[in-house]
Amino acid sequence: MHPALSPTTRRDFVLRTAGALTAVAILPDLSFAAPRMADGPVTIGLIGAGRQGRLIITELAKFENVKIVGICDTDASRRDSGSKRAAGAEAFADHNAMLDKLKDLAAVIIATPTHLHKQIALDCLSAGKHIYCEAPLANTIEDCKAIAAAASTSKQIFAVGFEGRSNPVYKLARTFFRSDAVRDFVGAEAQSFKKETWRFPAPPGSDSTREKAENWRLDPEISLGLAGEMGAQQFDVVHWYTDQAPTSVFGAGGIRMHSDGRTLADSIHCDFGYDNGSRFAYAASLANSFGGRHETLRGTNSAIKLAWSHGWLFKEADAPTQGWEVYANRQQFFNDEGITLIADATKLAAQGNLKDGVGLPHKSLYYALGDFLKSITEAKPVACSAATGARSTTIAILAAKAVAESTLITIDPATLKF
Amino acid sequence: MILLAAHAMGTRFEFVLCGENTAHLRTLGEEALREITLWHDRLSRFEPASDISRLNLSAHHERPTRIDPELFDLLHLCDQLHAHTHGAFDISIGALMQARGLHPPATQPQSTQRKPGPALTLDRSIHTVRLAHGTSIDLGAIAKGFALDRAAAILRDGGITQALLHGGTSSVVALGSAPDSAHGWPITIRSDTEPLHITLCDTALGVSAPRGRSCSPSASTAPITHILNPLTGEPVNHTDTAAIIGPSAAICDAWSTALVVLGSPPHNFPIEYTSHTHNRQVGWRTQPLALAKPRLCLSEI
Repeated sequence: MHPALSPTTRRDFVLRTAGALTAVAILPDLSFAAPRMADGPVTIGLIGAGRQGRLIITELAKFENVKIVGICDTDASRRDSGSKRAAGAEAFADHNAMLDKLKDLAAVIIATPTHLHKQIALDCLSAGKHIYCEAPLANTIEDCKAIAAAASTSKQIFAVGFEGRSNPVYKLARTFFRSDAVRDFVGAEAQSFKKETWRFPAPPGSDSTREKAENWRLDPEISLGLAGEMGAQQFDVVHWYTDQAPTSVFGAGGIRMHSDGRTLADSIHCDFGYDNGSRFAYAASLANSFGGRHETLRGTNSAIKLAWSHGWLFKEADAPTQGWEVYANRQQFFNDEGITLIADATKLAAQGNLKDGVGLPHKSLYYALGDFLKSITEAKPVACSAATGARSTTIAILAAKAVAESTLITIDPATLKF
Repeated sequence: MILLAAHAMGTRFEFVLCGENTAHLRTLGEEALREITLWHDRLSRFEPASDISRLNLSAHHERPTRIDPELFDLLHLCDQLHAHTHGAFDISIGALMQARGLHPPATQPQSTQRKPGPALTLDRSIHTVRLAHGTSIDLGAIAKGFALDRAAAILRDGGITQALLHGGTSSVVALGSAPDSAHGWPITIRSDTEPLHITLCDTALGVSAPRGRSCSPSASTAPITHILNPLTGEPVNHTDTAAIIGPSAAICDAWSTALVVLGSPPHNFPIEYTSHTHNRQVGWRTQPLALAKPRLCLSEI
């Protein structure tokens, strides 16, 4: 049985679903309604206008009544292109200057390099702004603690960008995971594979300091490497689903392709252990792309595979058949047939358009930002609080440390309390 | 010299980058490829999370759909090109392509009939777009060139002076010359009869050819070419190849499709561009003729 579900809870779920076995209506309706903003636009300041900042600008443009009024970046070219993309936004080189000048700013979004999050987050909390901070929350456990402590005493909303928690497919799949459809947790695997150097160009004529700042991900002094920058989101998904914390993590890594002077591993492996004996294996590489980025969680009745825009349920042959499966959309994976997990399936099925729901219509980032806006405008609970984000980030920090030292780390449960 | 490649927009993009510092070339080349995949994610009508898929689902509503300034500028360019090509380049052709079996069928019936009036209504003051009922956007005739323009800008800004970029060989951008040439990058364009040999230097090329792809809408009907005349809804085949050379790969792409439809350049064909069109009866025709000779490198002028 799933450790997070009491017998009553699971029985309730089965009883609820059993009453509707002849219809796809048992699929939860998890459609994403855009936030209501009756009181004028939510004014936002974006801190960090690099690649992630650019994606944030694009996604925010889809929301009605949201206005980016300030763009902040220490780099002039990023600042300029950011303010062009967010038409009408004022550009700043320093976040404190933005906070000083734009007094009416309702919220800030922090999309700077991870190691810079703490001071910016503390300054913005002091200024009384709602905050959405990209994940991972910080690059040290001390910084995580400082942010979580400051957020806990603030009246402002603090959301951490662990996007799986807002992703409609992931939310839907989690309801299956926590039911008899998957049943008892066996173990999990996840991977993030993409062949690329992870190096980014600095503007022409830049000195080595500028070049190093641009490539902070490759600096072992400040970067959590693949475990932190790619793995943290996926670790969070697995632990959010299983509602359990690892008691150990083994890590190893090496340079398999990019022998360009870097010391940070371009290929890593992590193995998390849990009190109940289950395990979670993680691999990431910059030397091969096969399979891309996904997570698989196995139960005794079925497995769930999640790939951010898509999700599938793979049933065991001896798993009980449920009525709605007759209507489900399916996809073949060599010898296995996956049932496509479709958010908002009830409505789509009623319209005869179930196939239209295969694949999310937005990136995960859109839903995470939407949840943050709903927390501001509709007082909805945040999808991932500072404390939860600090906990998930700490797991990634410990995994990164295990990889760097090629060792097994025992995790004291007290380390994960925020 | 290094070669980088990525799959995007239903084809393979390849970059040949020349220079001595291969680490620098790779860093910039990857950044340029990220730009290609970013625009694939945003512009593909086959990606459920793309901006275009979102517009095709939602932009028929009474309320216009808000989009970001970059996408707005692209749609505005498409709107202008639609006017300049007298309707021969038309991004609102998506539903028609679907109805003719050139795209996978939609779950909802697609109409080939749309109400009179503009297919796209753009409002720059609030960055919104609205689609006419019965239309859907397909940027297949411009997206590769648009993405290549953006990628080339990244390479130029990074100081790369010699490179050849292409998407599926039909959209090309050349920076400087090939290492073994003083004139540019030698390119051969196929046609139904004779090939055309050109040299590209600091310019772009867009090629369209109806023979490139065809499909049979049903088992009982003959294959049709993948380029439809937006004005009639019928497949076109009187021009077998159109190649446009000029500053922007996006505009070259759009005009090459338009010239397959139109047959020859109209009076308002942009003066910065050169067209090469081919059909079996007359062979290759180049306009304006003054630019028919291989182009010189800017550095040689």
